Amino acid sequence: MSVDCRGKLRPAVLGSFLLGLALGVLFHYSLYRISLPAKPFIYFAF
Amino acid sequence: MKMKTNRLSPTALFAGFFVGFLLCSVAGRNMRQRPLYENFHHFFQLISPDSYYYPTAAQGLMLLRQMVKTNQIAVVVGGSSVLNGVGQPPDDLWSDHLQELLGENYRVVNLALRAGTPHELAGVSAEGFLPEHPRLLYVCNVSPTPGCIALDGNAYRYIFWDAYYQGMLLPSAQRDEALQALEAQKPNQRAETKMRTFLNSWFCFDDLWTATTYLWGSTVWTNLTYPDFFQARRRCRDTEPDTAHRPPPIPTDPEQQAAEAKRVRSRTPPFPQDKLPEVLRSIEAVLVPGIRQRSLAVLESDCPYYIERLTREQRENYRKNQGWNMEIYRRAGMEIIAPMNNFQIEDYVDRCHLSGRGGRRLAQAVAPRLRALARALGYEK
Repeated sequence: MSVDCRGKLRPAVLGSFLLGLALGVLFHYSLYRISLPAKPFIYFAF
Repeated sequence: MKMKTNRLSPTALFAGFFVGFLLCSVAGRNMRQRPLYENFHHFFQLISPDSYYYPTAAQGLMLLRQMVKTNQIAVVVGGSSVLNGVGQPPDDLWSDHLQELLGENYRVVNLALRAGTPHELAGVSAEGFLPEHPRLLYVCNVSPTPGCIALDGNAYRYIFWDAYYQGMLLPSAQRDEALQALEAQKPNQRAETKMRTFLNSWFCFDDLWTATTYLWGSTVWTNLTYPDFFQARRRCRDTEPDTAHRPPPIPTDPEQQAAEAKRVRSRTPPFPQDKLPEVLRSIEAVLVPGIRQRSLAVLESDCPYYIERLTREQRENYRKNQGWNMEIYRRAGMEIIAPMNNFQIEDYVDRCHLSGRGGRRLAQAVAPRLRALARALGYEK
């Protein structure tokens, strides 16, 4: 990651990291979500 | 001409992606090891697959660890909606009555699911729990007529494979053989389910997001949670109707009544005895020896309203088929009882589900047999 001469993280790098973080969480969620059936198994007793 | 500067840093983007995914996987693994359910009695509709809530194998095991104390005999209830308690209001659940009858030395945990088979969530959880808690009894309901049990379940196959890839299952040569035969017979038939559960064993996405649904809020829309569609499922109450004040369990809709009667009639053709070894093998493959020897099976019987409307020959065949099924489960080394054969119309809320009264009668029939089984296994003197 790029750090400027004063040792601060460049905003673009931080932004990219946070965007990647969000995409990582989204990808993790999508693994759960895509495995759910399109229509749930509905069990009607009455 | 001024060159455009690249605002994204690919290295940081991929690093963020990796860290985000890793953090979620660690959180999911953490969720597997924490008690999740509050004041648990059974998986009612809003914490069941009906409402897009799919409990994981690890959650079933954790429920047993959470609820059963080391000095108690665990009573794991599996099976279908009949033992789940469909038809019984929350304060009249049969498994709660069973707990009262058995006393504090026992802990009844009802893991039966609607449309479940004798194994599934309760079975895999019991297998996972057995090595650390051998004082365990298993109760499940079985069909009135003999038939093969699906090796990895019926409506909820993901549960078996979830447990399989997490190493929760007990070793069983018969099951391994049956799995190999299934794979040889229909290769890649379960490919999607296997892939999903294999990935979940590493990345724990089902465990994390199901726990999130329970604790903080659902991300999946379902009309069953109207009007608060995304509320945390731990806030949802069991809305099973109070059947004590319902009319007798005969559908008023003639079509539905005919369908139910047809279902009962479908259980009357005589059982072909040459199928017996096949059915026995399937039971032995699904319910492994460690579970079978600790099991009490409850033979189902349909509501007498429908049985009485069969012809005499059909009624005889129905009872004979029940007899064959009992014989098969006994040959598999399991205890089996048929208390529902003596139940009355008022003990049912429909063709097969028990009312509060029926549930109480079932608990009264099951409790002494469980005590006897516990004594036979040396759990208590």
